[in-house]
Amino acid sequence: MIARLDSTVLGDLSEALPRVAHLPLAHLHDLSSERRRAYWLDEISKSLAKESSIAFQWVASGTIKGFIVYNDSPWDSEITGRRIGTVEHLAATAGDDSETEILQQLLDELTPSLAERGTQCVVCKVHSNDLRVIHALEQRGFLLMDTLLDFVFDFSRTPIEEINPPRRDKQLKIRRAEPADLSALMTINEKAFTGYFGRYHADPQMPPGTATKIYAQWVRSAFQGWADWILVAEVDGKIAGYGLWRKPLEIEVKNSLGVAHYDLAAIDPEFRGRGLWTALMFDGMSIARNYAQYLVGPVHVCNYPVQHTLQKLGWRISGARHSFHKWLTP
Amino acid sequence: MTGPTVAELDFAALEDLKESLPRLAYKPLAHLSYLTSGHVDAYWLDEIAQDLADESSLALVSRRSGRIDSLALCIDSPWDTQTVKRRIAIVKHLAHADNAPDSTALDDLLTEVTVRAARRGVECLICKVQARDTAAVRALERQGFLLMDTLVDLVFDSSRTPLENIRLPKRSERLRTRLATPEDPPEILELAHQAFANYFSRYHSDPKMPPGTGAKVYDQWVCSGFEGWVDWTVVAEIDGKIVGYSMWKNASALETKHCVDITHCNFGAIHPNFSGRGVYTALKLAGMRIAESFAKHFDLATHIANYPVHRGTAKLGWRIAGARHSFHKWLSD
Repeated sequence: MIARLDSTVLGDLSEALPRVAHLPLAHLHDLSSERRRAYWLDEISKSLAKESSIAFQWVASGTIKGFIVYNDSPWDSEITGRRIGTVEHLAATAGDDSETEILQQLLDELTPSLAERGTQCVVCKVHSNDLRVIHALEQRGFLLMDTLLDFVFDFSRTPIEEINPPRRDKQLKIRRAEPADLSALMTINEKAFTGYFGRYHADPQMPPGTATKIYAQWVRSAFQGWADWILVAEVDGKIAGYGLWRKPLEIEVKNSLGVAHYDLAAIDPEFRGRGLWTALMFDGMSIARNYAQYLVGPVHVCNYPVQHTLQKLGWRISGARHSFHKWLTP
Repeated sequence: MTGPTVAELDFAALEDLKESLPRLAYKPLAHLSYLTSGHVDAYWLDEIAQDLADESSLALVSRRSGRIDSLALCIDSPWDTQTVKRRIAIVKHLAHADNAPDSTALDDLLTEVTVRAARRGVECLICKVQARDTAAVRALERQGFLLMDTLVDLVFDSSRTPLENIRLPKRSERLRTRLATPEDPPEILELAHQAFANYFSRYHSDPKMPPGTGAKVYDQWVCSGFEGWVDWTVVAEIDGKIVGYSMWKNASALETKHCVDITHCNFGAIHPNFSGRGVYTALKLAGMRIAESFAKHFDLATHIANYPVHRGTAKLGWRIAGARHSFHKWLSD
């Protein structure tokens, strides 16, 4: 039976989570399942508390066998001019073939509510090994848009002093960004992301120019306080690249997860191949170690130069996620 | 301009295909960046001609204004069929013009291939496409193919990273590597059983594969290796017990014909009780030393979630140079 899911059943949900095969934070390999489940329950609780949440549970004999939680994505919606939402949590606990059926039924239950609300596009990100969820999504019309590798750096395993970054260009200076730098960063964005291949670029139903707008807004938001530190790389006084970083998020602090985030970096194509990216990353890491044991950074599976640089600096591939989109309106 | 038409591809149409290949996107050997596009096109055309000569081949093209702008070529996969005991075929070439972000021509071709393959008794179709080829990915999903796994292609370039420059922590004196002998297969098979019991390849992750297929495939892979499918196998021993193996293959006849400088590291495993003890890197390095006498470039494909391999190869200087998604579509229950 499918019923609405709300925060009053968090206790039942907490009993169901140990039966779910794929837990979040899979890229933090040293983290126990108990801590990952506690974090997940907190995350679900936060999702349910949002005003836009639509959530269902699949219940049999009083036990939760599956659940789905959806929320609107105002940030994406505002930039794209399309009403976009995200399936934030989708899981089933049966551990057999009926799992796919449960997941499909949950997706089927959600869809009419979204149509009623006017949602035009639904996004869902899934761990690459969670094949049952992946197949349920595909069987319900979701299409694969991109794949991200989760890179992790662990300061307890690799002290930053042991990293030997390549010698720096003498004309290169890395410093914290100032508000006046915003327009220079926007120009770099235009050049760096025009031919890129993220999920916004890959989706032909996204309005033209969406991808570049998304990256521009990302940087703008960073300057408005979304990022905790922004570094810029200057060569001979000209801004040639930047990197955005965040400290552990509130929910991570609450769950004692010492995780800082490398979010986005870009180099003016004119200055590529001069070690700017490595230098920006190394300085960002040096700041991050004051706040966290782990650094995490998602990288597109086809972004080979960034992957290579991260590996040279001691980051490890520790997880992989697929992003799916489904358009409900043409 | 006239609309697209679907037609069979035969040897007579190869000349037309040759003209169209430069305009097709996401060509093979994309992970070997040292190859020129002319080189790749010549290799690709030869590979297609070879596949067309296979009597099971089913090849269709979509033409627009007379010019070929999409291609689908499917052939039986006898190895999979024999191992899985279901008739399996592979859509080996699925290509489209690079100006078609969401080509309906691919949908038309896939629909036709599926109908014809089903008529021939094919039970499952497999297709691997490059991760950046999102038009092909979407066409496959729209046609009912399901994602089974994602592989990353790793390349080692010994002209960029000389093997003698690779520094690894000193290994235990109890660990040694050697070439496999004809007496080793039973021990290697036993090891493969242990190593792949809880693995997550496309054979494991497809719920429609008969139970036990994953293990059978890896057994068969080892057996085929010793029956001549690979050119050499390196084993790692600790105290005389085999704790890992790595199978290597020289360039194929087609690759050699087109001067593709490559040696393939095909398959290997470490006994789960001996992981994290430097066995992987010792084994890989021993294989690379042999491979160096055949080619400057080595490649291997590994599952996106095979993190120990990512770590081991990164330590040795291998680089990710490509990514491919594997899709399956079952035509019968």
